[in-house]
Amino acid sequence: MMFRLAVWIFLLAAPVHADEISVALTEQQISIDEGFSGARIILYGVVSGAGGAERAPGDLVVIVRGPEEDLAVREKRRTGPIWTAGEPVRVAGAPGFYFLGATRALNDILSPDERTERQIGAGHLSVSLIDAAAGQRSPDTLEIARAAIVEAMSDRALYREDIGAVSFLDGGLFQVAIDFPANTPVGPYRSEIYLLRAGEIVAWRTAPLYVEKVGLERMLYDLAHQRPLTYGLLCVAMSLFAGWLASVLFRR
Amino acid sequence: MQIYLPIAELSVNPLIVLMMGGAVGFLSGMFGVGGGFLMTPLLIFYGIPPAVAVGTEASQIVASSVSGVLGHWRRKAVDIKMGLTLVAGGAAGSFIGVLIFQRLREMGQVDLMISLAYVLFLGVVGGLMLVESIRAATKDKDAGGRRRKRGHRGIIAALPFKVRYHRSQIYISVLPPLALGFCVGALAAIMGVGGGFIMVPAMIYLLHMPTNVVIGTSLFQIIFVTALVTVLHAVANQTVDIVLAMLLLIGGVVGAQYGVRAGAHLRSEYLRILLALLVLAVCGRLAYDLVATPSVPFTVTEAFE
Repeated sequence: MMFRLAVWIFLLAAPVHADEISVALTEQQISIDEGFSGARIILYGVVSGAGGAERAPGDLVVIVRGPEEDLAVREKRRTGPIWTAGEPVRVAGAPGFYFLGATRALNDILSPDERTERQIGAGHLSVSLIDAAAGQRSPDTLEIARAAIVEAMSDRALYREDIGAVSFLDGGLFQVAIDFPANTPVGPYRSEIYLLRAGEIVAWRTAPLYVEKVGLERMLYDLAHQRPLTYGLLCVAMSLFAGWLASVLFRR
Repeated sequence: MQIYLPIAELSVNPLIVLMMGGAVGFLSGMFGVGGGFLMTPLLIFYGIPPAVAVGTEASQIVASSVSGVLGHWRRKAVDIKMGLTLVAGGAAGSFIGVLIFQRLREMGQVDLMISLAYVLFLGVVGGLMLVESIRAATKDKDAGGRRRKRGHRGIIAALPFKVRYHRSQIYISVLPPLALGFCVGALAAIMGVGGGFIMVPAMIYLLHMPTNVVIGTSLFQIIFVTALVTVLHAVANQTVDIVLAMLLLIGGVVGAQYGVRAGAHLRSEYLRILLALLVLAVCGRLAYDLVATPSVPFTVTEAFE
């Protein structure tokens, strides 16, 4: 509580110019440790400047996007009685995590062109095909792949759009809660905050955020990926020891 | 409470995983089966990625086989020479198996292959077990089996490179045990099983080993083959989750001890029918997932080079 209070005081003390956004996150790093089962971060901010508290503060869009990863999208199709995955369409540029919060429905506050330019909304993510085969170069392929990615990632709780998640409090203060699921990918994240009035972006800010494995989780993950032979032998040694220990403990 | 798995990269309820390990361990102790063929599908149903389920289960089988083999070792019921012959075949088989696994993983088809392999094997094993246990329960003797046995002996007796296995008191070609080891090693790599459910009947009916050394020798070779499979999966695919393995083997070894005791007091024919039905139910669920119209018409995975 004291921390939140300190944030508010800090934000309110910001100098008043044209439209400006000041933001702070409750944490700038999410640590994945042995007990990690997801995290919630609150992004606080204040809109200050021309008009300030007297006039309507406008609309806000808050985006948090995770590290990009190349993905393979395969259409499922029937092969005899069973469903199999077809040839992959490989796509670059999709973030491993995407959260969008807004004060109102996006169609009401921003033009489609602007949304595409700023990648506002999962349907407007700027993705591209990686060395696509000749048969895959139709413009439809990319759209279908994008839609498939958005659906699959939403299903894993990694993509989320929450209209109404951003709420204005008093005097241009706002806050939004962002939930990170247990399967959140590690890497650098970026939050983007846009202030809109009459369909125009009048101010924007970004703030970095990191998701990292720490402690034992990090040690094991690094070992498994950097020294896989050592890790494999460690697993076997542990199993041999556990098996021997069990037979000693339970020997009649 | 939740525990985050460093390799599977998701969080699980440790009590549920311990209970799964315990339940499968109980069944394996009661029936003297390895349990890998039940554990891996259970992990998949729980949401563990199939590739991680297979790699991790191999390391759990190392532990359960070690605790199982020691008793047989003390009773000198292990044919070391035969075990090592099987391991030689098994090493080659697990190399090939992990290569196939790695290739299919890069093609994005490994989940399908694991499911298909399980549907096939659980269907066959569960079906045979059901027929056999119903026969045992109704005391209906099968006369046809013996004739088939002689046919195999004819082919195997004609093969070259004969070796004497003193412990088993047999004199046969090394080729059948090498081939058997190879097949079971490949299965271990692809399915995350020990393969005892194939190895034990094959040793009795194909190699004509005496029944008192069969279980010990099977467990002996399973330790080496699954240990190798664990290391190969760790190196080639990074799909062995040490935290998950630890939870499973704690549950598994404790469950197995109680299973052994419970098995000694209960009539096994009817329990075998139940086990067969359980195996067929797991098979049915996997088969349903393959055939049912998927809720999402696409798969989206990490793209390999």
